[in-house]
Amino acid sequence: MTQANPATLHIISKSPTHQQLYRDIANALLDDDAILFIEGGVYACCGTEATALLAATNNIYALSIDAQSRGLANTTPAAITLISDQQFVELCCQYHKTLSWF
Amino acid sequence: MPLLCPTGLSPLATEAMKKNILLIFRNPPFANSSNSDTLDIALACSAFELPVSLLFLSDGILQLLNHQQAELLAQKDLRKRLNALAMYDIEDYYVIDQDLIRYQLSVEDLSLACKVITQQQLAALIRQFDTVINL
Repeated sequence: MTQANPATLHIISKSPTHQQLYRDIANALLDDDAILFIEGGVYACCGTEATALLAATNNIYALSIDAQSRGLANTTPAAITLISDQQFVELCCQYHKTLSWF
Repeated sequence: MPLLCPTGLSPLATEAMKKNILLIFRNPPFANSSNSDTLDIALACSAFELPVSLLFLSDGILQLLNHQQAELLAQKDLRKRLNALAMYDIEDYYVIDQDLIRYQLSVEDLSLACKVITQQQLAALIRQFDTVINL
């Protein structure tokens, strides 16, 4: 099993209203880390927070079903990749570890 | 004449005693049951003909977003009940301009026709009401 990527996948499940949480994440992020928005976290896609986090890393994903169900599928910026549940699992395997923020 | 007149006062007297109520929605959809519970309160108040206003504050505004597909999460779409509020004479809805800006939304993105107020007007709005419920 290849696990070359030492970076971390940060999984965020709360909306940007949790400002301290987003500050903590920004401080905990290295530039080859990835971010995945799930559940209420997908609301970061339609705020200014995604723009700020995109400055820190290019690898930003959002769970498609959570974005779609919340009416955000069309407003998610192109720089954020919408992924399926299957790809969610694959992404977790690609990274050395996952870190959940909630 | 309402069926229930617990105080035994004349309808006119109860009319004068009616408290107006502001209900605050602060949570995004699918987070917990508080938005649904708040909506239950709104309908209960309406059954007793109490004047109710709704404020969608902070993440509560996200409850109103169009194009939601709750069935993907096997959840209930609260908007169907929200859209029925007008039938219960609940037609006074507020959102804060900063919350719209924050999520890059306009009033057209919302499923209810809300009045947009500023953050400075929020305190004055709350002051207008006898009772404010914030779950």
